[in-house]
Amino acid sequence: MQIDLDPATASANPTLDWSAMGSPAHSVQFYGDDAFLLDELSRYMGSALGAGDVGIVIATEAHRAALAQRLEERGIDLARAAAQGRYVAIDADEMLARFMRDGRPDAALFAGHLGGVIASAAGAGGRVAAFGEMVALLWARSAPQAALELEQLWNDLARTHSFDLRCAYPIHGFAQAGDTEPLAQICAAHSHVIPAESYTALIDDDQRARTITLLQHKAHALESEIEERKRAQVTLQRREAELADFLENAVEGVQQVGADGVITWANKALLRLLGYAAAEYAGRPLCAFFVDPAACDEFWARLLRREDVYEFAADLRCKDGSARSVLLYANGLWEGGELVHTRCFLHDVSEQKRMQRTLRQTNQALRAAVAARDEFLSVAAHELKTPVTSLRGFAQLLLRDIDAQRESSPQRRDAALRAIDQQSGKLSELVSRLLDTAQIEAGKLRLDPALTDLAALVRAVIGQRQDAGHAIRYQGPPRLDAFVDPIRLEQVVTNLLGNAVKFSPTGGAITVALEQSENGAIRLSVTDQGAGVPPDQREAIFGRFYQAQGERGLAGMGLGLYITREIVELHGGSVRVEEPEQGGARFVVALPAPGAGA
Amino acid sequence: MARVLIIEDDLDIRQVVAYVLGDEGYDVDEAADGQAGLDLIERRRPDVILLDMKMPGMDGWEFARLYRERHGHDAPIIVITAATDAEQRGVDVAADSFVAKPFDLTVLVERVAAAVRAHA
Repeated sequence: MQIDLDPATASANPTLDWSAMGSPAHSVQFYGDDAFLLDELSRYMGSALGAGDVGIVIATEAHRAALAQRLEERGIDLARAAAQGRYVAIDADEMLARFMRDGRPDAALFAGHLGGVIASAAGAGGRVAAFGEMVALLWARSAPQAALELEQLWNDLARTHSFDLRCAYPIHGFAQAGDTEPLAQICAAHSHVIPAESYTALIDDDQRARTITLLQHKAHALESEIEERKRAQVTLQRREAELADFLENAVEGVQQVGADGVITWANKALLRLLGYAAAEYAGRPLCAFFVDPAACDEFWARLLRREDVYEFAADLRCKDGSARSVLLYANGLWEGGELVHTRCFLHDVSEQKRMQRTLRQTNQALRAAVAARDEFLSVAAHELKTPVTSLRGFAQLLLRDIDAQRESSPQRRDAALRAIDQQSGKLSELVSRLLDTAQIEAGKLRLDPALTDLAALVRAVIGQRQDAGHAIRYQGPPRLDAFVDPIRLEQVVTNLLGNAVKFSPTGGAITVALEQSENGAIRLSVTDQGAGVPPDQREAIFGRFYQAQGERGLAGMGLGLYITREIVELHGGSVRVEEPEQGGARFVVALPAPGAGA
Repeated sequence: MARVLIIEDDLDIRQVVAYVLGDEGYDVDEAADGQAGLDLIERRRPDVILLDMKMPGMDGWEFARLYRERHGHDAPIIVITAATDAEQRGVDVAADSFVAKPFDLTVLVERVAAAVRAHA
């Protein structure tokens, strides 16, 4: 917009000319530049003082000084005017302090102070021209209500005192859209309104009309612009909210870490994963959550080298003290060579790690099982081939005699038949055990329970096993009836007694004890005077294929105790080995009272 | 007459081997484990050794090692074993031959005779 300014004719503006003014007015002057205000003011005050009237200036120190200088330049003898009481200069701040109470102008104090000033100035003769910018100071201090009240007090004072008052506000104090309403109220409180210099400098009505048109256009364009911006802002805010929501509710962990390594924000997924509340996590250094601080240092060093860190494996400390295995994906936001922050995504791999571990353990267990089975096959082959070797050898030995048409000696026949009998019995027992094991593994071992006299059963087994090598003793009631599988229970007693004979020295005492408690539970024990079972093997001996290395090399296939435990447990009981006070081993079978177990 | 030492922990097997080799005219010595075998060799030098591998006390591997150490590659060793890879057991101790359990007496007799011939 082109505006022709002509300082010489500037006074022809809609500013109010003192000499042309009739009745006193309460006008308001808006200004953009201090120089313009001071020009207008010096014209206003200068014409009043020049006409021999009275001037009152209530302004800031800077404005008072600058005005005084301009008035002097206009040839006005201020000292003289002041001496005559026709020029009164008052500091605006000081005057405000006199009547402002609790942020509001006090009507009585205002009337007292300002009424006094005006009455006293009026006494010097002539009309009174006053300039005041206390209202502008209040406005600048964000007290628009106080400013409006003060304007009203001036209007009230004008009813009792005759003076012409000019207020002034810098136009840039009304820069906000929300200032429109207070501005309108300020204008309403005045009898005249003088626009700022961009308008008052215009020369004639035509220019003013053109300017108004342009201003109307501008106002309209600005209003549209404001509407547009408001819409854009709403869209932007919604978009920002959407993005924040997106990150906040992402399934993977997301966090922002400041350039100082301190976590500034983390989303729900991350906090949930580690178990922290937002306040417990954000605001703390990232490295505080690394199980291995050295790993954090490396992670950070790579970010500082501007790397895009990809799949960085780390263990993070959870609130409950446990650790989570995660993969970190991160990079930095750099502006002008400075790291602003890093975005860090976090993927939980604890479950995968756990599964890998389980897989490894299962694999190891399987390998061990395969190795145990190989070992078992080798042992079983040896155990089975040994009696077969004797059987075959003695049978062939007798056949060779027949083939050679010679008579076998009685000792030879005797030894051969005895060996064939014993070894075939041993072979039969081994085969039974293998079949039992196969049944147990297939879950097909079944009991056939019947009312059985356990005392008789135990005594019978002892009778079969009684040899010159050991003193086997029965300790218990003459009769003890129980509902058990007699064949399987006999197998148990045979196994335990067989082990006792195998693993205790010749001549050692073996005691088989049987007792029933008041509640009906049955306890069967076999105690020997052998080497005993080391504590660390007391559970292992019941495992499949466990082979004890007997001093006399009487290792078996490692199935006896395994089968024993299965049979006892099928009866609802339990078996364990303990060490009696006098040493050796005591195997204890506990069977539940009838009706208490299976 | 050639002398055969049988080292075997199973009494019945030892006995049947002693009977059949006795019938064939061999002088047979018996030992229940490696240590007993070594002790016996000090007094009576065998021409052939029949050696079981898996024995309590001193086993076949240990016996073979100590026997070679003390007596050089003196009498031929025939391994008698129930192991599934009987031949490998023979190789393990650098035996002259092997017999897998359960063995045929005729085969055993032939192996012993062959070893005696080869050593003669």
